[in-house]
Amino acid sequence: MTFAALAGFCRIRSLAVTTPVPDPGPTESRRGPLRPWIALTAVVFALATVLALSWPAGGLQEAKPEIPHRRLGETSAGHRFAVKPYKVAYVTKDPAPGLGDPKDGRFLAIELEVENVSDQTATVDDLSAVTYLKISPGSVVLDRFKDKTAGFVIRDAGFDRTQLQPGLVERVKFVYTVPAGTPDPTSLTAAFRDEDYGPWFTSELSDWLPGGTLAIYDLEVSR
Amino acid sequence: MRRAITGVLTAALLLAGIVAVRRATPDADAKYAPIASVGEMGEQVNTAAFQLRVDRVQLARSVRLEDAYGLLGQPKSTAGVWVVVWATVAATTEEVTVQGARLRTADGAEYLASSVSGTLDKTALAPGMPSYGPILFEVPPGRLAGAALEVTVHSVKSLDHLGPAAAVDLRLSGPYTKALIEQAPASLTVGPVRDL
Repeated sequence: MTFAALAGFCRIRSLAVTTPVPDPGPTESRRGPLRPWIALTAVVFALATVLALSWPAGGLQEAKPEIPHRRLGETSAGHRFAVKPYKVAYVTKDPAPGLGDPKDGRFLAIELEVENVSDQTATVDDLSAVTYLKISPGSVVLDRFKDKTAGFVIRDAGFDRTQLQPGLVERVKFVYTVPAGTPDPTSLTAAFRDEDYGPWFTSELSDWLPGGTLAIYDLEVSR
Repeated sequence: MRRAITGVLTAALLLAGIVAVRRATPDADAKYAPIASVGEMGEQVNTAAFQLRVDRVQLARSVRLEDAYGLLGQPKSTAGVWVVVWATVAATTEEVTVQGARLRTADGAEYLASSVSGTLDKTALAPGMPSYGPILFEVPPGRLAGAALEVTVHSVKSLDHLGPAAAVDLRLSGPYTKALIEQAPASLTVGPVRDL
């Protein structure tokens, strides 16, 4: 650096130091320290926004517990049904013939005590639609629609009662065919899915919507 | 500080207003609910699709249905109590079936009519030709007091949006209902639907 350049640099610094700071105009005075009411309102607004967004999304709800494993005779209550399986049997004669004589074959009959805990009439088909079954040995999943041959309320020795009225406890029987080529079942894993009544993103109108798994039952198959 | 308090109060007031408006706004189910004509027992209730008059209510522990030929069906039991509502219904302009007959209890539960066949709610009604017959319900005895009958033309609720409906108070007061339950016969023979 030459002496001339150094002298010029010092002159500039001297000017910078000695230049007076201009008075803040009316515009700049508004950028002063943040006023308490603005800060408080902003915090309240931010909190309200977070709550408004997270509440409908279920963000503040308690985390769901693990799916319980239950046994014969234990009750699981959801939003639509309370179920208690009390008998699972493997039979080689149709236990619930629709018309005519019972048919030969291999069947799995499940009997449950069911209470409709909702405030609307349901049917046994509504329950079978949320019942998932897997037989062992072989870990074969039964088709809850195609393999079901009967589903009815056990009452008056008939097979035609299917309604489950709110608050009334009924005994229900489901019959499934055991798929050909599978070994005779000795155990059954039954899972029941819960349902929730309310609007969904496809419609504002309420309907029964799939919920989480209510319980898994590990059951022995009797003969 | 005064401004801070004013700001917080204004925000709280606005929030309360939003919540109040939100709660006062009917939900979609209420907006699309059937349009009900309200009436009393013994009174004719007119809707766009049918006319209904509830004549009487009976209770029983089990029922036997009698068909048009006088043949008796098997006794039908229930986990609750049978409520037999005798009513007269006529279609107005075209054939209808009042499949959406429900008993609404005081706690808001809805009991769709029993699926037992041969009852009034399973009968096709020709326009201008009234039919008289029973509608059967299974209800827990403890929920019966204060129940009202609601009738639409579909058993599936989503098909009844903004459709015609009749609502009839069955005059089931607490003491009267209790007496009805105590006096309910073990078996009741229920006659068939008759054209009037």
